[in-house]
Amino acid sequence: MIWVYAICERPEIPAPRRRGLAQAPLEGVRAGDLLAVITRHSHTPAEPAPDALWAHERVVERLMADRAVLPMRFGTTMPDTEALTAAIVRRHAELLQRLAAVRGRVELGVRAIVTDNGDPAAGMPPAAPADARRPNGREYLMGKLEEERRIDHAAAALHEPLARLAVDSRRQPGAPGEVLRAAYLVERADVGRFLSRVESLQRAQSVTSVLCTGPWPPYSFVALVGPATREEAMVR
Amino acid sequence: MSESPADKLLATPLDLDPFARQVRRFDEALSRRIDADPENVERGLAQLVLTLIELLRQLMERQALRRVEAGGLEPEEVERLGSTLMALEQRMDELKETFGLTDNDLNLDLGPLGRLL
Repeated sequence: MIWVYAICERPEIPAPRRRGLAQAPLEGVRAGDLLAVITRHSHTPAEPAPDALWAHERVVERLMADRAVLPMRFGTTMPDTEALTAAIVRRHAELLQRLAAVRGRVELGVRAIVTDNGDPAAGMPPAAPADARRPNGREYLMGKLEEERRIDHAAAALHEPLARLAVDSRRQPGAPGEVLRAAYLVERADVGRFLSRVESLQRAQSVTSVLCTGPWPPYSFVALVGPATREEAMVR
Repeated sequence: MSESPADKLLATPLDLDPFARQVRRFDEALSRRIDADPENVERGLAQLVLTLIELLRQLMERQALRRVEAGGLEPEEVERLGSTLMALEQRMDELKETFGLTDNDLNLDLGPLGRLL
């Protein structure tokens, strides 16, 4: 099996002389105007543990130093290079389009969670005072709706100003207690400005903690559109 | 190029502990799956069943909220829906307590698909 790290432009630049997972040497597989960077293995080389995730990440980051890259998710494998080449050739035009969309840009991740175990929407205008008696069915539903709206409001107050500084953004469903989990595609030159905005939003928040990580390869912005075969689904 | 994961923290709150707690919960969930204790099979099974029930309960609740928002329900229907969902939530809380489970135990990380709940 082969482990795929990324699909990149400029196939004339060979894969870096480095080792990937399980110390396997990196190889480039050319398909048209694209180059997939892979390692070969007789069995799955790694479980999703921090060291392995980091090894995958470092390969992708090294590639990003030279060219635009579509990073593959950790765990993307194909049976052999023929299947990989065929999948890339079928999607050639679309992959080039995706590369153009991420060129010169990086992904920044933002997560916001409540710092105590309280209401995720704390700090927003207070809801109606809690009634000591047991609510009736209607009050129960209205309470849930109100809570949903307050969390949405808190998330939008963080997301909207950040999305304005980004070329693209993806919001992801958050874990319990999470107000916002999102990825932003940002021009490299705008990273500093984005961080300043995160910090000013953090200062304005009393009960929500905001964490910004990156710069990452644009993992959240490489999804292809249209029907996929089983093999292509693996690449995705 | 980043040398270590710490290089990836660009803007952090004064207190990183709440984020670290979430990472620890993820680690615990992994080790729980791997070190399945044979004496704990009943709790494990309860956890799985309650996870599925909680998923269905939350889907029903979200659907109910959308219907209430759309405004097409009679007041009696709203009351009946709300009472049923409230009773379900209370019953789930009781079951979680019985089996010593928290909300976080009733969630699954589905990788690229995100969290179950």
